[in-house]
Amino acid sequence: MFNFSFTDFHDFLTMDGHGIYVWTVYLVAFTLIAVSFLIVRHKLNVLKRKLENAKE
Amino acid sequence: MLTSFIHRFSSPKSFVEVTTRLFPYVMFLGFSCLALGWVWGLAFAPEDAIQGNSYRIIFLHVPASIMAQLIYFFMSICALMHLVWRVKLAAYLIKSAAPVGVMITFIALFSGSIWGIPTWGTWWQWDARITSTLILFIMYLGIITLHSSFSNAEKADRLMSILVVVGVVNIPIIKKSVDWWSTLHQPASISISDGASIDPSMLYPLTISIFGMALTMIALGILVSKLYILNREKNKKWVQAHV
Repeated sequence: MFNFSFTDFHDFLTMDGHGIYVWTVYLVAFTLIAVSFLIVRHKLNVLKRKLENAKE
Repeated sequence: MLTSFIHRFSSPKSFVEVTTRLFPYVMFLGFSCLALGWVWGLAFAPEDAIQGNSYRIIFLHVPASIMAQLIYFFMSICALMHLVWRVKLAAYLIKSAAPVGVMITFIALFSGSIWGIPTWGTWWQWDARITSTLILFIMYLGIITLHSSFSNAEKADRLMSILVVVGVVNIPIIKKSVDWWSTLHQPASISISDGASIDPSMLYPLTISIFGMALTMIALGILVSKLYILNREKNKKWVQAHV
């Protein structure tokens, strides 16, 4: 079940010509999810700082 | 009794406190499962006999599509709670879940479109499953726009909840579209009643990816809801104490 499905790393990247579709989709999804986390985290820090300043 | 139970456990303050404690565990487990599922699916799952390697998009597309529908379903439960029991937190959660829903529905549509190029020879088709998912995407955007267009937040919460309840009719349509109509989109690979139609070597990484995506979206939802709740209740004493 855990045998590498490709002959080498190049084969893994190209995936018989389907690599461009597969990798594009995963890259876009990963970027969107990661950026969403970072943006919300940043906004939360800004808000916390604003609330702390208002408290003082 | 039910009403008092709901009100006691649905205060924004206790929600923020509990979810803040849970957040690191949920995020770590979500990212770990997603990484395991994706690496397993991309590198170790066997090639599909018909679709070749392009089928590997399934480990992203299916979890994203399931989450797109589940988030809306969750929002509809919250909308009912807000409309029936006037639970304030429920409205906050709808408003927080909607942007997460937009993002994951976009990923579902995008991954499906890209998958369609090598499989169907086209990136878009006005087929029942794809069109109903596009409607879901527009519904999410509509909910956010509707809420932002009112200056009275309580009125916006109520109208948003009504729109969410009305829009939930689209969820069974998405789910059953491949059975009710003759569509280009393939039928479900995993069904609660009929089990799985795919090989275990593909099913295991897919299940892990679905679980990982669910936890990742919950983690993102926790973060978004915290931001929204702190912003909305910033004049309350507990928020001052929390920061």
